[in-house]
Amino acid sequence: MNNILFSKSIEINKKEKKYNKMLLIISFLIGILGLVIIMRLVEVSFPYKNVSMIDKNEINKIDNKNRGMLLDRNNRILASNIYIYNLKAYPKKIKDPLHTINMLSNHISLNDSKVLLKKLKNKEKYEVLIKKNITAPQAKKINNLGIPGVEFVPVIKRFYPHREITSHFVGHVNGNMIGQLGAERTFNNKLHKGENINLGIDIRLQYIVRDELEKASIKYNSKSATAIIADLNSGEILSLVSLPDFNPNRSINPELNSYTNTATLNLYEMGSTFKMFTITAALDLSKVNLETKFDASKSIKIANYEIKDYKPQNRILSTKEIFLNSSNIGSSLIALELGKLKLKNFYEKIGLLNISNINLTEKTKPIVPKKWGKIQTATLSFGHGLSISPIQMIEASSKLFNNNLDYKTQIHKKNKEDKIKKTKFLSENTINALEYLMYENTVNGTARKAHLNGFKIGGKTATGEKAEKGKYDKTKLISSFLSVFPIENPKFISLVLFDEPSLGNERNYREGATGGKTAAPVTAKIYRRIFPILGITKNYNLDPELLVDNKGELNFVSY
Amino acid sequence: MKKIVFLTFLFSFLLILLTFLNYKIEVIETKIIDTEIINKKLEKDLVFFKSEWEYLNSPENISHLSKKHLHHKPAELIEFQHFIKLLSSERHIDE
Repeated sequence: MNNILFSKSIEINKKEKKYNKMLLIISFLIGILGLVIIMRLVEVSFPYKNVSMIDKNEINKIDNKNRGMLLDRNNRILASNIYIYNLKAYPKKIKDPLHTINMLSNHISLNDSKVLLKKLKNKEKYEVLIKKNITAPQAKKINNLGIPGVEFVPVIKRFYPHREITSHFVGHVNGNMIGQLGAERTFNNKLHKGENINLGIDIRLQYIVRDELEKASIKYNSKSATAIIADLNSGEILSLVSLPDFNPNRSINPELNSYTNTATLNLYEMGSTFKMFTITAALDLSKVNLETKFDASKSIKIANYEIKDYKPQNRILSTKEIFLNSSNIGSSLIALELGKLKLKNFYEKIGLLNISNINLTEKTKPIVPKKWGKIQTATLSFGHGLSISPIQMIEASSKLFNNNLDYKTQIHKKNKEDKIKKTKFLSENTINALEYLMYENTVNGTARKAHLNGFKIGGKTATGEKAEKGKYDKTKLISSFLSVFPIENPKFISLVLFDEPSLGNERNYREGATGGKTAAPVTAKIYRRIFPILGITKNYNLDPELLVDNKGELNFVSY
Repeated sequence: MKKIVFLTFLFSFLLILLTFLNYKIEVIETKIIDTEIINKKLEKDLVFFKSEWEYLNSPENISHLSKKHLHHKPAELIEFQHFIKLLSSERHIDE
């Protein structure tokens, strides 16, 4: 009996133990599950996850992809994006409108406080725009006041720190940030993707060129003025100024004259710079050399037209003298000797008869004569009867001095890896003769006012008359000067042009405002200031007198 | 039984670990997003200050300021006669 009882108690003990073990496991599992749930609860309810340091709205505002910046060749900003702020008020949230206006007026000027007070008192209005275009520091100050019911709305605005100086080159965007003019339009797609673009211009040169051109334009009372400086090897435009210009930071009226880029849009009968092309063609394609004689003693008559010289020499002139005296008669005789087909083909080859290659959208096709006969051959030899833009003049001349038919001007900076394609088309002798003529012209010819002691510059002046009602008007001139420097190893080319300049207030003074008297001296003034920047050094063998050793003691400033 | 207990324990432990890691990742992600936003804000500020600096430092502005306050002339090539004139005017100022 005892044994039975004992064995029963053992069985009960075993069952109890088993039950306890099960209980322990279940409680353990419940404990773990509880822990997991607690961990999840902690994770869900932890404040850090949902309360970010920055408001979610801010993320949306900032995440919008910004338009890329336009930079000059030395990475200086030409166009960037800045945040400006519009101040808005929510009348329902404003308790004391008068106090709000008083607080705001201490920091910003409010246009009409009475009208604004009326608007703020009107609780039915959802929002009221108080002021536009507030800068970040101002907005920060006002924000720190903690005025209830007012809010700043950030707006991205395109900013042009150099204002008028780069207006035509850089261009501008519209309200939707789409490029409308200049580089902004050319590189719109890339800029839209957020890419930064380096342009070819150097802001230091651009400022100097504009400064001198503006002064001269006022002095000569010209209708408009243009200046271009380009790199002869790469085709990069280092400076392009078109006056009058505009401030792209302000609202723009495209109907104003200042909106027209005269360097690429205006067409002019350039005049004597064409003699450079005619003589180059003759030297390269015919038996003409610098000493070949032509009879410039009297004017030439072709059909009903009479070709005369501005300053008649009344004698036989060599090719060199024709260039230095800028003889229309001589130039016509050279062209007739060369023949119309050869001259036309040469003009075609250097791009005078086609639209410019520059990568700007605002450019114009040249006005080419429909018929090309004997008279056209003669007049086109000295730049009458064919209207081209200043940028075309730069392109065509660069092809000569660079001896490269593939030369193209471009507004962006070339990458170092980009290879420059070169197709030579002139003989070395022709190039040397051309460079010699250009240099001689600044020493003994019509471009003497562009001469700088100690520097070898080559240049050709031009004075074209404007045609009105089928007649050329002597009082409406296009005066220009095309130059290349340093002429012994040409690196840069420039063109300065004035539209209807005057040497005084009287009408007669307009007749004498030639390229040699207006554009050439202005070019010299520009060169004086830009040569130190471009690293063009003085040749002391040419001018040993000029010594500025103790320049450091003088009050000079470079910018 | 022991196996079940062990597996349950292991599963629970991994679940806890996963939950903890998940939480940590989310915290880090939030920090990264915040840092990116701050970074973008600072970039915008930098562009603003650079633009402001470009305006202040523009050749036009420096020319204007130097003319107004320092009476400096822009650097350019000068002829010998002009150089002598400059020297004499300097002496005059010194006196």
